[in-house]
This record gives sequence, C-alpha cells and structure tokens, in this order.
Amino acid sequence: MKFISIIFTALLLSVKVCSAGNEVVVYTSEDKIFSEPVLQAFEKKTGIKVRAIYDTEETKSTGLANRLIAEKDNPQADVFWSGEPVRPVLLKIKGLTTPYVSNAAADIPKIYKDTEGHWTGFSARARIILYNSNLVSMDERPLSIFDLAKPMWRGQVAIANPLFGTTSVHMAALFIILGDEKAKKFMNDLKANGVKIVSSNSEVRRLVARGEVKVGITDTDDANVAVREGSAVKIVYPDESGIGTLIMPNMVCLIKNSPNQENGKKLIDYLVSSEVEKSLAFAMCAQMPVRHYVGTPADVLTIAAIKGMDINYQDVAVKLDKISEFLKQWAGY
Amino acid sequence: MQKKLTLGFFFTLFLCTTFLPIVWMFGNSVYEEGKFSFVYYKDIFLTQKYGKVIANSLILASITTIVSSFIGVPAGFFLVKITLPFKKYFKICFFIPLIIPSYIIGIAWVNLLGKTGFLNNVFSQYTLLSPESISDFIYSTYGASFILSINLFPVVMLVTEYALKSINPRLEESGLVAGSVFQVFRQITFPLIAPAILSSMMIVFVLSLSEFGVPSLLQINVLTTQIFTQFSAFYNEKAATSIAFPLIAITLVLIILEQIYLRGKSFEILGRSSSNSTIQYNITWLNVVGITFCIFIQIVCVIIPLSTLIFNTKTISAYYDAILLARNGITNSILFGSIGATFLTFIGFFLGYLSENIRSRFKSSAAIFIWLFFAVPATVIGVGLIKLCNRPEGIFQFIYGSLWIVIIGYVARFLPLSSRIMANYLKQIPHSMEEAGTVTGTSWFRVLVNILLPLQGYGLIATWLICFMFCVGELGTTILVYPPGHETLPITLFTIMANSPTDIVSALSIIIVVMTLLPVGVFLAVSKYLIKFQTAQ
Repeated sequence: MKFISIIFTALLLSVKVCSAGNEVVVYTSEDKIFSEPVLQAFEKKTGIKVRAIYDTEETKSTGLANRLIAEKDNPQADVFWSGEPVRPVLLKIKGLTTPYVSNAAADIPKIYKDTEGHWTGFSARARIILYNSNLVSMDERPLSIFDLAKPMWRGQVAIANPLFGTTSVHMAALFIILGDEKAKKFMNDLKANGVKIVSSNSEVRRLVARGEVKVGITDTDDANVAVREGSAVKIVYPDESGIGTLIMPNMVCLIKNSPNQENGKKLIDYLVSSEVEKSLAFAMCAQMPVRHYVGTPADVLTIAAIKGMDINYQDVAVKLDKISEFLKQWAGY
Repeated sequence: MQKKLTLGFFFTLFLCTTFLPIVWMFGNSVYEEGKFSFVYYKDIFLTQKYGKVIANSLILASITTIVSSFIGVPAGFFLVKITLPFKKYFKICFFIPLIIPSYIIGIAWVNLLGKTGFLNNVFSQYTLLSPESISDFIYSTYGASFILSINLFPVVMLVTEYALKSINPRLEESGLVAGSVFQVFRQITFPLIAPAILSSMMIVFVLSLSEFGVPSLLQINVLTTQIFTQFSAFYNEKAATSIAFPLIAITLVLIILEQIYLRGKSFEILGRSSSNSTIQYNITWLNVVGITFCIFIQIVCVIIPLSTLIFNTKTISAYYDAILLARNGITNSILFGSIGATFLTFIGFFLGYLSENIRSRFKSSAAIFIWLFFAVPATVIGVGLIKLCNRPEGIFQFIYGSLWIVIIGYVARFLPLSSRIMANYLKQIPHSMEEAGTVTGTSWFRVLVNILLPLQGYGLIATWLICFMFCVGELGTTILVYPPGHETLPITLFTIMANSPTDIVSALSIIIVVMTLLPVGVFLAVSKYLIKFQTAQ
C-alpha cells in the first residue's frame, strides 16, 4: 500500500499542467507536416510559446471542430487555424468565434475576409483533377469535372466521401454555381458512372498513383505530394473555360472567451502575413498565396493564373448544411 | 466491512470514469428544447433506415469473431501445449497485429489485394479469380472482417494461452492416465478454458462492433460510420449518441446469452501447482500441425503487413525523420500506456472480483452493468469527458490540462474490458480458497495479498498486457481530450498521415510496433521472474 502511495504521489508531482503564461493555444486542421514549421517560426520570432493540437486523417479534419464545439462553455483554444473555408464559418454561426480584424491582412483581397471580421483567409489550395499519366494521355485527359460523368470514365473515377472535408466544400460550391437540380443530376450521373467513393483525398491520390483508377478529384496539396514522390500523375485545373476551379483558402479565427486573447491576435497577425503565405508556397504543400505579389516557385501556379469559381464562403457553409442529407444518401449512408 | 468499503470505492471509481460521461451523453440525447424527447431514437427503432446498417455491423462483428477465434484459439493452444521451436519469438510476433493500428493493416492489405496489388496479380494469374473480384472482396464487409480478424486474433490467443497456463496440471495428468489426448482436451482442458475463450470472443465481437477505422477506410456502412457522420458532418451529438444505443443493446443481449450458457457450470480449478509446469503433448503429428499453423499465421498476419511497411520505408533516413517527429509521442505513449494499464489492471481486479467472486445476488447484474459500456464508441466517451471535466474550477482544470485526462479516457474506455478479463480468471479460483483464509481470522487485505493476487499472477499479466496494447493504440477518445504537448504515437501517426511521404508514415508505424513491443518484452520478463519467485516461496 505504501508502495502504491509513493508511486501515486510521484506521478502527481511529475504531472505537467497546462498553465496559462506567455503562450497561445491553437487548434489546427492544416496538416501537421505543413503547419508545425510555421508555428515554430512564430514561436522563435515572438518568444510566445505555441501549444498546438492537430487534427488527424482518420477524423477527416472535423475532430477539432467537434472538440471546439464541445469545449464551448470553457474554451481552451485561442485560435482555430482551419485548412479549409467552411468550418470557421460554421463556428461563427454557432457563436464560438469573436471578431478580430488584423492589420496584417489589410492587403488580402476582400473575398477572403469575413465582413464582420470573424475569419480571415490566406494561402489557398484548389480542387483539381489528378490523373495517372501512364494510363491517360495528354489528349485524353479530362478538362472539366463534368467530363467525369461521361462513359469513357466509367468505373475509373475516385472521389472522397462528399460529407467530409474539402470534398463537402466542393459539392456545396457546385450546388451554388449550378443550382440544386443541375448539381443533383451531375452527382447522380457521376454515381451511375461507377464513381468510387473513398475515405479521404489522400486515398484518392493513392488509388490514382497506383493506377487502380485513372482519375480522381482531390486537393492540390495531396496532388503535389504524389508529384514530388515521383508518381506517374499529372494535375488538371478543371473548368478553366467554364465554371472555374474551386479555390479554398486556409482560414483563421479567434475563439470567443479564450484564455490568451492578446497572444491569439498576435498569432493571427503572423498567420495572415505575406511571410507565411510565401513559406507555405515553397513548402511541399505548394499552397497558392492569395496576395498577388507574393512570389511562388516556378512549378506552383499563382491564384491569378487560375480561373477561380465565383463563390462566397459564407454561402457555401450555409448551403452545405442544406444539402448534407442529400450528400448522405448519395454516399450511401 | 474492509471488503465492502474497498469494492464500493472501486465501483464508485467506475461510475465516475466510465458510467458518468456515457450517461451524460445519453441523458442529453433524450432532452431536446427543454423537454424529454425520443425523436432520435424513433428514427432508429421505428424506421427501416437503420435496419441494414445494424445488419452490416452484426455481420462484420460475427465474421470477425469467428475468424479470430479460429486463428486465436489454436495459436494459444500450440504456444502452450506443444514443443514449439522459437516459442518466444512466435509469441512476441503474434502481438504485432494488435499493435499496428487496424487502419494501417487495412491500407497494407488494400495495397496488396487492390486491383494493381502484388497479391491480386498473383491470385488472378494462378487461380480462377479475376482482379476485380479480389479487389471487390477487400472493399467489402468480408474484407473488413478479414482485416479486423488479423488485428484482433491476438486477444483470443493471449486469453487462451494464459487460461491454459492457469490450469492445474494434475487435472490433465490424471486424465491422461485414463484416456487419450483428445479425450483429455475435450473433457477436461477445453471445458476449463471455455469461459475464458467465450469471454475473449465477446471482447472481439464488441471491439469489431465499435471499430471505426477499417469500415471507414473501406467505406462500409456500419453503426460506427453512421455515428461518425452525425458527429462530423452534421455536428449532431445527440443523434450520434442515439445511434450508439443499438451497440449497447446488442452487447446486452450477448451478455445475457452468455450468462444463460454459463449458468450452473463450474469452472473452478485449484490454482497452479507448486511444480509450475504445464502439461505438454509431445506428439509428432500435433507438433507438425502446430508448427505449420504458426508459420502460416505468422506469414499472413505478421510478415505480410510488416514487410509491406518495411518495403515502403525504403531509406534509413525515413526512420530518423520519423523518430524526430515522434519523440514526444514515444515517451508519452509509454508513460500513459503503462500508467493506464496499471490502473486498469488494478481497478479491473476489484471490479472483476465484484462481478465474479463475491457471493451476492448482485454479482451477475454487476457483470452485465460494467460490460455494457464497452460497446460505446470512443467519440461518445470523448465528448462526454469534455462536458464533464472541462470546467473552470481548479481540480477540473488540473485534470483537463494534464496527462490525467488521457488516463481517465483510457480507464473510461477499457475498464469494462480489464474487469471482464480479470473476472474470467477469478472464475477459476474456488471460493473455498478465500474462505479458508478468512476463517483463520486474517484480514481481507491479507487474504487478497497472500492468496488471491498470487493465484492470479497470469491473469494480472494478461490483463496488463492487453490493456497496455489497447491504451497505446487508443485514438478516438485521446484525440478529443489530450492537452497540447501530450500527444501519443497514434495521434502523431494519424496527424502526419495525410500528406507526409509514405516512407515516413511506414517508418513511424514500425516505430510504434517496436516501441510497444519493448515495454511488453520487459514486462513479460519481469513478471515471469516475479511468478517464479512467488511460486518458489
């Protein structure tokens, strides 16, 4: 019994308790491999200790949003850095965020900022078509996502479950651009054409890279990883002559009643800076800066070089809520 | 009095850690807009919507349980009962599938049996199967069961092995004098280990019922993927919790069936003899069958997934990069896993005693009550713990901001498991042993320390090992509650999985295997020494 008491006391004494000090707590659904260096750079620059929690592939980047909602009455996080533009809007709707307009974001185009200051967008990804270049020639490659419903791609297309992550954002954007009826018809045609619904965008990348399907719809960062690993894949920015490609910025927001508001604001100032945009453009994720003047490597397209879909992210979040039941049925859930 | 107070204390601990967060969530799910409402439950029970989903879950769990048992029981038997060369090597290797996260085993098999996979090519060339049919198999409920069986058979194996070791060799010896090996196995050995095997099958059934990773990877529509969808696509925790209800109902039915089966049967054996030996059958053909079986299982369940990971790693530098990424996770996993497993074994012993060894009319209801909560998915427990523990008051802030919230998460998830394993080992000790100690006027604590705990040496080891491996691999609850800086290895793995190069992800998976096996090896060595020491005394 004595032995147990000694062990128990020793354990209690050795506990590291997360106490408030010169620190900031950030929850991020941006992939750890890309977000961690940025947060470390902030730490080095400001001396403010960053305590980060990252999301996982298995929870499809929605685990943290759930955690933020569950912690609503006693928030632990100061900042939420989202890898896509819908979850912060959702948190705003649920009353979890507080407005903060960062001076550092003054030169970010208006379409990437909330009019009420709840969220600010920076470095973006795009929804693209990834094809296996051993199985599909340049001439055959699909140039529009609508091509994927054609018979020549029967059983050869992969897409992540549209209920989650950036695929859900993409589908909601299509419903806004096309209208409900046309969008439903496209999705039903896609399903009738034997589209393979898989668990995540990285699974789409894996199937295309291994040649198990010829093409897939995924994000630029997933595609770039496959390209840099030397897989036989190529990227198409779809619908350049039509509805355009969906651009999805990272988004950052300040959590209401969080313990380190001032440090949270400093972190937001840093994340939306051109310095971070540049570093994310040169990282393996090759994200596109939303500021036109920030330089990118030669093989990374600038946002100006792509025809982006004309959408409002607030509308996308609202639309997603409305079409979720359809998406659930479509995915067979 | 001493006994009642102690058991009462541990039962209260169970109520606080496991019962409260879950009941909180279920209570919340029947309270809508200020009044009681069963709107979410109506959907489940009064519409056809969930019929197919429940059927899928049951098929998945049933096939997984059957296949795991067909692998695990013989594996445990051969490890104990034949003269198997490299026994320790086989034993350690058979732990590996339980340590590698099921999601990773899933990816390895999907790579091998997918349309362009190596094994798909081999099978489609040399058998009548087409590449599409093999690929369709791995993406089906049967494929998911196959992967989960590989992942979970070590539970059955370990429980069978330690149950066989707990049998007093004199019972089998006297049987062998009068009958053949088959007769002894059928009439003595098997009936004695039956409750342990049944218990491990129940564990596998409930684990596969509440498994999310593999069904999600293969897009199988089961209850857990539905729960995840409600949480993550609709942010509707009430609907998600209500979908967890059928999981509890199925578990309740199962445990009642088990109780009916076991009613009136006695599994008491006189504990281990002082010779500390286990009867081995030295029959040539049985040895050959055993060795062939173990090698085959080794190839399918260990070598294939492991070599896929090693093949993907390609360079040594990938291991270096993976270690750099996982430094914090390695220390945390071992520390949290060891503390979690120790608490679980300790509390599990008393709860197991409560539900098995006391002469009370409440004992079977206590067993059912504790076990019911094992089927509740990790996410429901995680959100429940946040609601209960994330409060501004000092003590709650201390718990929620430190490793203790992770430990509580482990305890909440796996206490029904550890108490059940312990209960089945305690089933083998006759009440007379304890009573003999008590009538001499010795205190209950002394009886506990000098009689019950030493007789349960193997049971305690098996429970600790299984709990340690489950704690180290836990993701669903930990991801929702871990404080910054307290990430564990599975969290590190899954956070880097999305866009890290394949070689680093594979290297990290191998590191998880090694880092889990090391403490397991040390624990096995130390516990073996302790048991020898105790037996000598």
